[in-house]
Amino acid sequence: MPAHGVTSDGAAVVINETNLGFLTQLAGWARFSEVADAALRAQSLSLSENFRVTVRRGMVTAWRIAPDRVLIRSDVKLSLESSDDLAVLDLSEARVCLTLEGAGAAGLLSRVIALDFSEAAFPVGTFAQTALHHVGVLVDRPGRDQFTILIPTTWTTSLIGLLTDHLARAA
Amino acid sequence: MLRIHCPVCGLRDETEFTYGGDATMRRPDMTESDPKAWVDYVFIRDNPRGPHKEYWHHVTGCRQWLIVKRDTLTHEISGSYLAREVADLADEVAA
Amino acid sequence: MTARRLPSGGRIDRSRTIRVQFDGRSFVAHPGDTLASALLAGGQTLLARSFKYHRPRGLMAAGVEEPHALVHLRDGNRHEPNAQATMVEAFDGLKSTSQNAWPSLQFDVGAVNGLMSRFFGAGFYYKTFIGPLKGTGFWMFWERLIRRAAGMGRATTLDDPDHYEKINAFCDVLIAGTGPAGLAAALAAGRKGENVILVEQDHVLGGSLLNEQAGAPSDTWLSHAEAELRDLPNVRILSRTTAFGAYDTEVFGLVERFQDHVRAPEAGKPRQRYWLVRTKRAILATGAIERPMVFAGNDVPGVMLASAVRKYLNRYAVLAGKNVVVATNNDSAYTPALELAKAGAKVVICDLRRNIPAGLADSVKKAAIDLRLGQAVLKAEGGKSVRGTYIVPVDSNGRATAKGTRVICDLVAVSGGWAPALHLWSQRFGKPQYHASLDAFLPPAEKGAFLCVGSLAGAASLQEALSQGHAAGGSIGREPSLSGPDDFWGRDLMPVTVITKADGSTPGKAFVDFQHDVKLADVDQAYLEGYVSVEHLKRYTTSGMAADQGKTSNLNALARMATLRGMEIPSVGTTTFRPPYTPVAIGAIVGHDHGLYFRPTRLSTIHDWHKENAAEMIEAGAWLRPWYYPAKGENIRGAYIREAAHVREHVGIVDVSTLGKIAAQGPDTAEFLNRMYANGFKTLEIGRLRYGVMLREDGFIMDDGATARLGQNDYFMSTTTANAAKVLAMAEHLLQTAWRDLKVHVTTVTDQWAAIAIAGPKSRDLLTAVTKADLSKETLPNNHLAYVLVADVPCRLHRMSYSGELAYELYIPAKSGRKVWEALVAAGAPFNLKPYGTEAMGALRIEKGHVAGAEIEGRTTMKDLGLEAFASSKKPFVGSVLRKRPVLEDPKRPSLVGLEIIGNTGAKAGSLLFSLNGPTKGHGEGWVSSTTYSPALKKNIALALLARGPARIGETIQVVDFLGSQTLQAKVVSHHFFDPEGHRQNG
Repeated sequence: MPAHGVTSDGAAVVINETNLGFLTQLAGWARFSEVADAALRAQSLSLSENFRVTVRRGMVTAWRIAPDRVLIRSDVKLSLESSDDLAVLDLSEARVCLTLEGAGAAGLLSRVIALDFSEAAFPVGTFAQTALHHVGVLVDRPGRDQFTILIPTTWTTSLIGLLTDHLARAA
Repeated sequence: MLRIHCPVCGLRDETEFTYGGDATMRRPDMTESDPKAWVDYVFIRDNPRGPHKEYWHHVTGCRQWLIVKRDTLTHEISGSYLAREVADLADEVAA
Repeated sequence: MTARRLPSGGRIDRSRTIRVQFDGRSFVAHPGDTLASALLAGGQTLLARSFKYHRPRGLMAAGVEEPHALVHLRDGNRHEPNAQATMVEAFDGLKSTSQNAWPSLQFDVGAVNGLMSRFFGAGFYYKTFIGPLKGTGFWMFWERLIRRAAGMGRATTLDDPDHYEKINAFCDVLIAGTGPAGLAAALAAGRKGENVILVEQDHVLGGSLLNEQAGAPSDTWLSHAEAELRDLPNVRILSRTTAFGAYDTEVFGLVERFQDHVRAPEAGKPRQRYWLVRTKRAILATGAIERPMVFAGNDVPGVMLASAVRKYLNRYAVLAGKNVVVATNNDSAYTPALELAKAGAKVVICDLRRNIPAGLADSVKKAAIDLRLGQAVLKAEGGKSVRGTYIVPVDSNGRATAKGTRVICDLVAVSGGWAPALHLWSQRFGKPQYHASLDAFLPPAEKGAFLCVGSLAGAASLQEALSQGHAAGGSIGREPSLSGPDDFWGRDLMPVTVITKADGSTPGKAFVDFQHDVKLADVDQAYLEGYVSVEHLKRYTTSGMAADQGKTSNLNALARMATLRGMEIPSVGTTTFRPPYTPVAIGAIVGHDHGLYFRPTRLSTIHDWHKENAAEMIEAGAWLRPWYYPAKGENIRGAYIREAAHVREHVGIVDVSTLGKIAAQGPDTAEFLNRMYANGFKTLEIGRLRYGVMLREDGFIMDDGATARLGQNDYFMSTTTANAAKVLAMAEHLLQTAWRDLKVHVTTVTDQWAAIAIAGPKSRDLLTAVTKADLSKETLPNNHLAYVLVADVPCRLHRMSYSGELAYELYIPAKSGRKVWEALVAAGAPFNLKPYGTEAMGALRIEKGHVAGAEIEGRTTMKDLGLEAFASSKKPFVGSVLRKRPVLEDPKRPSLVGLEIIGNTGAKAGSLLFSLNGPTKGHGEGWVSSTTYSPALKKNIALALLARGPARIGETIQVVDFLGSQTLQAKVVSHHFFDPEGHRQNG
């Protein structure tokens, strides 16, 4: 890492593992929207109504991953406490952060993920939870040729291997 | 292959889901002690040819359980809902 | 047959000359040729031997429907069998060889099968091998010989050096076919701004327009259309690509022969790509396939489809014969007839019809063609090449009415009508509709998100095809306008394709299915034997079951069965097409998902240490786990016995990161756990652990594991490695459906925590040294947890034992897993710490009588496994009612016992148990579930499920492994072999 290469179409990609920082899941029940929104506002963020739009402010990113759950990536540990209306869970160790950059990044992902990576279907600033080679991952698109993928830690070696195998065969 | 609409994630390949069986069955209350009610719930299925309601679990996505209206003959999917948001399972699925 | 290349014309690049090889002979070709056109131009008319009878076969077609000309391509590790010569682009250095012939194509010993054809007819396999002589040995002996004699090409056993890729694609409209209708559709849809994927199996666009003479008016339109499409950024053109499968919800499988047209793929380029396309709608413009006629000798080289003869002439400038008999039942064969005459061939047309349109008759007369109306070819004569035909006057059923005449010829061009290529439509929707006037099955113009246009939809003219395409695409821009020949096959077609003598027989073998050598007589025999439904006909005769899926044979087989049964074709029905439309290499479907990447592998964050320390790994589901750590020269048995004994003596560590871990959070979690587990969880205090057993809804055991209470609303469940996903999914299901009253969230934290079990009498000393914490029996008794620092990493220490020793489980933030493991190893030297693997872990838990996956295997109850004491009677839980079913309470059910094996040989898992003096037949009275050598007891022991087990302690029984022919004797004992009072683990 980083792994440089091209897809079989000749488009360049760089795969890199980057520091995830802290990852916190907030989950709740009937009052989730209200309680989670309040918690996020303390981080100058708000709770998105939309399950595809990434909310980002500075070094903090929030993804609404389910009606009653939000996942927050931050560079410092969030000081949040569980209550009867909010369950706080540290997942910082449970995911590894991979970045894919370059003109071939979307093309490479199209080879391993069954999603439409055109800008119309997957605009910059959105994310998706999907399967990468049967493993559930979160794909975020901070830039046109830039993707961030959160991979469950124990699958990382295998999935990076699959991605770099594509680059190796196309070299 | 089917494409299934997930109310959270959008239209996705069937491979992101696992099948969860007949969604027209209503689980007996925890306090139910009549074995017949449980036998019906666990074992007795109609296996309809035509419109049906099924549970599908978006395992590699948002991990929500869905109720999907699917025609078992044509595979046509006419609707999908978050199981948690279907107000009363028995009433909704009967519709 | 005397085919030759014409000095001019065609759509080949004559400025360049390339060479292709067939059976060692070199042929001159030009870019734009196919292997078939190059061989035909070089006069090679014998290309193959047929499947069963090894009859000489040449080219019948010029496209995807070719049934005969299957060849081997290339050699060495790129050797490829069963390539259709008509679909292989010629390139310089292309090597091809004939297949299914020995010793040579010219002289093939297998042709003797033809003399034995009465034995190889319909139902041959059924009659010969399913009857008095049935028996596996007999079949296996003959199968080898038969498969060798009757067969297709030979595959290589070498590794494929090329790579293949899968690509996921999405579009608004997928258009299959780039003939006039497909192009018109693509233009309109492209102009509309839809995202279009346009698929063409050929390397150039144009479809049927390419069969027109070069310079035809349509050429200008074609080049403009292509230029416009290539300029549209929203149109993706995939040529050399076949749409082979149409699946539910508008998913299409395409295979792109990306680098098949060159000797070897360019560096880094995949040879083929498998496109999985999800589209909103589809426009099928796949054209139609000409239908052959059934007459004696209709497979002799030189008997070709009229459209193929035309394609070779106009596209490849190859005149396939000098003296041509055109046999037809419709108008479409007249265009090739006229063009052949113009190119210098002598042409005789025999048309089954007594009347033809005046216009056609006039042009035929002007071209000095010998037209014979009401006549048909009864027989084509010749062996390796056609020499002549026997032409007879026929009645409206295709039966000869009088003696005929012999016409010398070297080419027979046949048209028995056309069959729309509705394969994709049929894959998606099933049965098409029969249209009597066209004598063809047609898809409806519109169904669901599918539109069918052009010849596929029975378009009667070039203009109609263009109009249909334009409308299907969305009618944007000007509708294309072109005029083509007025020769629609469906206008005055006479629906007869089978030509026989007056008595209904054929003077020689007349083929219905060419690729599988199914004769007209085989269809007749199937009928006589009662196999009259189309599905039976297909399977009994194997008609339509070859690699070409009956592209040229299905209709003729149906028509014959309809005649025999005195029914109309719609009443006889048709079979449904299944993917793939044409054969697809498995490599293309597999893409990168093979070898190491066949499926993803899950690795503990300590994995690299195990590898660096020579651990033998074993697959456990998707995980790789350390199996044992062999000392030099040590085998698995030596290693696990040493490791297990070491744990009981000193201290060992094992990586248990694979355990399923679930965070259960929320104010109602205690109630949730109380419902999930058979034992009670309401009283579990913060900082404490409790073992739990979980049932399925049907009352059988699902899983077991320990749960820790970390806080007021925070619990940490652990599951077995195998059942982690299942338990989580079930919990999510219940919480999202029946238990929405509970405020609980469950989340997998398997990846959040690495886990190490530390077991053995010195484990406390080791951990105290490493953590500097007070871990005394009083501060940290069994089933308690503590927060500790190991190498500055904050960890959680659970005191619980699986091995029966004083033992702990250390939960470590995953990314520090290896660091903590190494810290333990470093600190472990004074305590004689050793790592151990799953095999020793298994031995320890068997000694202790703990159940695992081999016992919790989906068919066992709590009672069966001696866990009944855990079941609470004070509360309902998942499975609590159904576990009480009388059948599950039956005392005769096999239940858990221990076995002490008598003698020095261990039992095999899966062995069956029998009474000492009873017969060893049937399923026995139980089985061995887990087996090991016990270093602690110095005996071979096993866990087993035995009928009325606990009541039989002390009895000696037989343990029989039928697979290994091993019979042992064993003493039934309690499954708590070792330290049953638990002094060691509670110490």
